[in-house]
Amino acid sequence: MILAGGTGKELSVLTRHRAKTALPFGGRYRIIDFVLSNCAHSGITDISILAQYSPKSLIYHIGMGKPWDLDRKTGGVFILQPAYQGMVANWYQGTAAALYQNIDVIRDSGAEHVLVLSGDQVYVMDYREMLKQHVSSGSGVTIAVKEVSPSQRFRFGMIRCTRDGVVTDFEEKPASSSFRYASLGIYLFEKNLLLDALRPDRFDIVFDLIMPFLETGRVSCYEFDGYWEDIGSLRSYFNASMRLLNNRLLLSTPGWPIYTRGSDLPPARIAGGSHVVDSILADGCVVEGEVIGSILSPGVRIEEGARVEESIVFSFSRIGPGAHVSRAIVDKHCSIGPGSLVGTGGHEPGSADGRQRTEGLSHISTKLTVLGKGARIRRGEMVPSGVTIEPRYRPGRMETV
Amino acid sequence: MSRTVVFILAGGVGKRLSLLTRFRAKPAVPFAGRYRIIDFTLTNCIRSDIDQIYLLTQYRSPSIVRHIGIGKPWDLDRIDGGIRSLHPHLGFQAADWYQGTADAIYQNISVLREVECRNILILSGDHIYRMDYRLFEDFHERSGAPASLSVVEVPRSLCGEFGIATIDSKGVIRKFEEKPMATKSNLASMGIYIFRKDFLISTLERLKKSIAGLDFGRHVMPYLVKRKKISAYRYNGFWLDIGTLKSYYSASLALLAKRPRLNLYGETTPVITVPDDNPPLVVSKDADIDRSLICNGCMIQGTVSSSILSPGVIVERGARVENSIIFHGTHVGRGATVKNVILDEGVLVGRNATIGEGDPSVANRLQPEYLDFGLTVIGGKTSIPSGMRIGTNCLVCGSQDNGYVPGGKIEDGGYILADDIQL
Repeated sequence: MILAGGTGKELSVLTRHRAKTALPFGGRYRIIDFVLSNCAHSGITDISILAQYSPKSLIYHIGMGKPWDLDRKTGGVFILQPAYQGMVANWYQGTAAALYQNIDVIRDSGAEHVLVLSGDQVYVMDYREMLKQHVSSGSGVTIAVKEVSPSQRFRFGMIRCTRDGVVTDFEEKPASSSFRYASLGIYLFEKNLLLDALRPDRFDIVFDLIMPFLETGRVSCYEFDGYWEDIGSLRSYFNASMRLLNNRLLLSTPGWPIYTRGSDLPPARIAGGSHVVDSILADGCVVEGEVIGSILSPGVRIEEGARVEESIVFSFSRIGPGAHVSRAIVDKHCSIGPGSLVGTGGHEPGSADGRQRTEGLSHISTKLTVLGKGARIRRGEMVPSGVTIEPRYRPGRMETV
Repeated sequence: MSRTVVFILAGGVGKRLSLLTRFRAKPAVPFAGRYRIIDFTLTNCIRSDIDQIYLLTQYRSPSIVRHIGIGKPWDLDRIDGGIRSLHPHLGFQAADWYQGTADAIYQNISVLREVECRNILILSGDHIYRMDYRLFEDFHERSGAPASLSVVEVPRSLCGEFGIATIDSKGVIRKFEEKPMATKSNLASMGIYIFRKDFLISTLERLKKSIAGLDFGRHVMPYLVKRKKISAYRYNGFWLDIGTLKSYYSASLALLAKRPRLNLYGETTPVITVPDDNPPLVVSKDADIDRSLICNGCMIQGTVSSSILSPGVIVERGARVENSIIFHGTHVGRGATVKNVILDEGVLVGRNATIGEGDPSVANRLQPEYLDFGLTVIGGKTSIPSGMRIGTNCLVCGSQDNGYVPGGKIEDGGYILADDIQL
């Protein structure tokens, strides 16, 4: 069961019209590709995606699941949205509530175990290892955890566990915590136990299902030591994206390709006189200008004399001749007019240099400029650093958030 | 009843492509990085609303069949119709390899009889072009002739390489010359025909009685021209028959022009191929890329200029790739130089090896007729040892077991082929 219903408010205009899980990532992927690929590679082929917020982009992306080999005779991948079911007619009001509304899906499956995942996380994990430990420990619930440094603990649900891995306490986003392990929001339940625990008045997996169960001593943790990131905010999205430039392993783990819906676009075309370094480019891109330390989704055009640095540009956006884009996230189908400046104001000289950026991640905390889907920036217009532009913005009605 | 069923001729050996077609059929040769040549024809079909396709394969057919599968990428996995491959087969009457282009159709005459359609469109699997076949069909219907040939104007200097048609004022072909030394017309046959189905069956049956190895250009065309049964449709777009290593190499590099004649970047109708699961192109800090087409899955740390890289190519630090075409999954090691070279799939170029520099006037000793213009071809899976020096106009292919080639130096025009490779 993949939880994919959050509104992703912290992602600003990027999630105004799309589910967070359908957010482009790493050039050619959507965030949910990581979890779906993990499932496919782990041999899990009966998958429900619980969606409710702006699901259109997710529905189009998933289709019948062919790219992940999830178009199966039995099982496969399904997107389940809140439905009118006679007695109840509610939105998913929490993680456990979403599971409860689909309790018949869980009950009717032939499975013995239910893996509950988050659709907005980026990591590579073999769930079979987790299952192996879950079965051998005889636990009712296993939670994947990761050790995090004290300074980061305020972002997570922190877990205390015994030396044998039995979970004894849980703190949700504590100001500070002595617990070393963060919950990754990856839960493996014994199916019957989950069915018993789900009730109409239980809304949250952690507080309403797991906390009451801690005293039985049958909640374990599974330690995961790979890279894991929760795409919760613009900042974590930008950081996780830029991290790909230095660490490609996430996208090219041997034997673990990340599956996605393919495009029919031609290869990236890097024209004479252009300059491309330290970047990731998807197919169909045409570069005639400069691209430095950036990530380009399929079909992006960087015209002559344009310069894009430390930025993420989504599909089919066009950066006009001589325009400069710096430290910006440009959503798809944007058009940036000739000679305009996006995200360049208030920028200390030299900080755009790729080397400085990688040495001190602190630069990333400076303000990002974000352009909503389909925005148009007029010729010669300037969009200062830190400004957010509404989707479908047209010249003459600048609304900054 | 569907108007048109397509037969694609994809069985030829493509010998003039030398090592590139040693292990694959010509329609399966990579082109423009991510495509195979046959993708262009299949894309034309589906864009022209044609979804009943028979593929006539013979030489190295697995390379084509494995690419196409059930035709899913082209939306050709259909309940009714779709794409099907017809390989030479045993039967009560005919049991033989396909002996010629028209013979391949004749040997499947039972299929031809069964299909429900008015017209049969006969295409070739090794042409590069974007064509709407519906316009050709409309012409065919209007012309009233039972057969039509698509022709394209070519420069007079190249007429000797094509079948040249001379037409009268009504568009009926009155003369057809194969590879003429001199001729007045410059309308070249594209090897693309439309026949009314019944007419095709009766024509093939009549000719088959007296001719073995029935060929469209050599036998069917003269027969039809003599009887004024075939009209010419003039196609005006870009069309290319990949015949030789030279035409393959120059057509590929022509894609790098600022405004190439074959534009792959129109947003509306991309050429369709099998999707891959590679990560996007990764360009590292020290990379220097200029005037190139580079696919997903490539990792560039070195210098790449005026080249085309298929998916999954790695160019390590300090390596230089210039005027070259590199196929899927090939690895160019540190400090290596690759200039005017085609590296086939899965080649390993060892550190500091130098390939392709030399005197282009020294033709290849094994295949001087194909390789005399300053190109070196390295066959698939070859492992070039570190520091090896290979000149220009060379052919090199290592053992298909382990890629082994002895190190050292290969002079211009030289060749090394493993024992299991014959050209």
